[in-house]
Amino acid sequence: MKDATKDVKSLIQTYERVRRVYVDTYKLLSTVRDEVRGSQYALEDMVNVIYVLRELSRLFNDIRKETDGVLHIFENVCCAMYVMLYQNSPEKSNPIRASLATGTPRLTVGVTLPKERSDPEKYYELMKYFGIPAEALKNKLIKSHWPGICEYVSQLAEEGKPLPPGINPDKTYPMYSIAIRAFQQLDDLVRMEGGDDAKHDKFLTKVITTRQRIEDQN
Amino acid sequence: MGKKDMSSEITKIDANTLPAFLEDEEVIGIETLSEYVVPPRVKTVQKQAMDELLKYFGAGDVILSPLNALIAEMPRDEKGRPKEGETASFYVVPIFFYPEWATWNPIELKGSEPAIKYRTVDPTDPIVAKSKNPSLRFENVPNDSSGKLQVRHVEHLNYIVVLYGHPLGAEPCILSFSRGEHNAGSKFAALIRMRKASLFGCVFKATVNLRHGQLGDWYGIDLTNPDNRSPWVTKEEYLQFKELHEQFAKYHKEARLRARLEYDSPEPDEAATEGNEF
Repeated sequence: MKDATKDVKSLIQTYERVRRVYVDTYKLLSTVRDEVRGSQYALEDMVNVIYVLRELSRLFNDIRKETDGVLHIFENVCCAMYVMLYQNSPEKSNPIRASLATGTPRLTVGVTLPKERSDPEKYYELMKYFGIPAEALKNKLIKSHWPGICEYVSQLAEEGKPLPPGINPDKTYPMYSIAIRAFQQLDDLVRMEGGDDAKHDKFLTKVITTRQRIEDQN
Repeated sequence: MGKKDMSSEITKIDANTLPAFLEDEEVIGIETLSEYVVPPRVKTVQKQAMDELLKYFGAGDVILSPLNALIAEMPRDEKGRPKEGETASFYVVPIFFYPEWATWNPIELKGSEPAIKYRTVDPTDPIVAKSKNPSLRFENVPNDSSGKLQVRHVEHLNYIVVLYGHPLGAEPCILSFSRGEHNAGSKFAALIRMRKASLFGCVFKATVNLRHGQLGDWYGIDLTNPDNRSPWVTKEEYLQFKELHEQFAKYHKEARLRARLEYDSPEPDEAATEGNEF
């Protein structure tokens, strides 16, 4: 297994930089908002501000989406490994206690529901199983709630019961998520003002490699 | 023309074929065989299977290899085509799970090199990471002058299972998932996990389904909760299967457990392109 200390440290340092940018951006946005409300800008200046804000928003949005994508991959791989690791001994599968946080994997079943338009027979078969009259569906009075159906199917899976009619087993898939409980507050690990980089680097290495509260480490 | 060599021919085995005179005989002489445990493999017969195999079985049938005993037969119409809306199915109880990683030689080297170049059950082995990463999964064959031949690192999800309520009996066999079927194996792992109980206490239904891929169609096995029988084993069976689980855990720990991995050529290499393996 790879030693991930360097990667985790880089991510914490990125968090530190982004947090500084976050505080600075908030201050700046607050200032320009007050000024535009007081009609302080010429039309041309406002167009310039609009242009830059739009690009700034695109940048933040892009990095948020990319971060969410990588986060999703980590959740999937972590949970899949966890499931495989404790396949033979589920009783030993406790929450994962790491140095910064405790993660509790959660597994539910995702389903691809038959579509009313392309597969009406299966769709109405499934809805009939749930006791929903076809008339109410045809008149668009009721719509199926996908997360609710996934929860229901997950419950059936736990009880060892078969899938409801109309749902193709081939169109089901495991959905993984992890509940995270912080052991160290990330904000306690970052510096708002800079300082001795070498010392901070050493501090981060210690925090990442040992599950121990900061106050106990000092 | 010389006499046909019958020894290499495939023979279809029916359940309970033990001759009457052997039924009450003491089983002797197989003590040393238990040194290495190689359970038979649950195999789905593919359209592209060897002619000898297709003489006795049809595509979509499930057999126990190398015994060639029929586990489940694909329902067919009078023309021998699989009946629409019907499929082969059987029940299993998973006893023990373990992943294994293997480096497979390219099919072009069949006959000159062994199909499996290297195999390991060590999760820290370098080929483990390679097998999980689509960009590292293929490597050039050393000293290949054409530069085109590539080995492939593959993760195999191996389940020791017993056939449940089946005329072939409850002898442990192996259900292995890799490449295009890796996803079905991962789904099975998740389904077992959701039961929140020991795997050997759970009954599952195995169903044969036709998969459609870019490189062709193939039959694969999906595991689901049973629809018309209890999803749990009985108390007596639980104790029996628990013992079996402990036995296989011991075999695995002692590196005596060997899966009969086969080069199932009909399984298209979709996993590499669609990221199904991980």
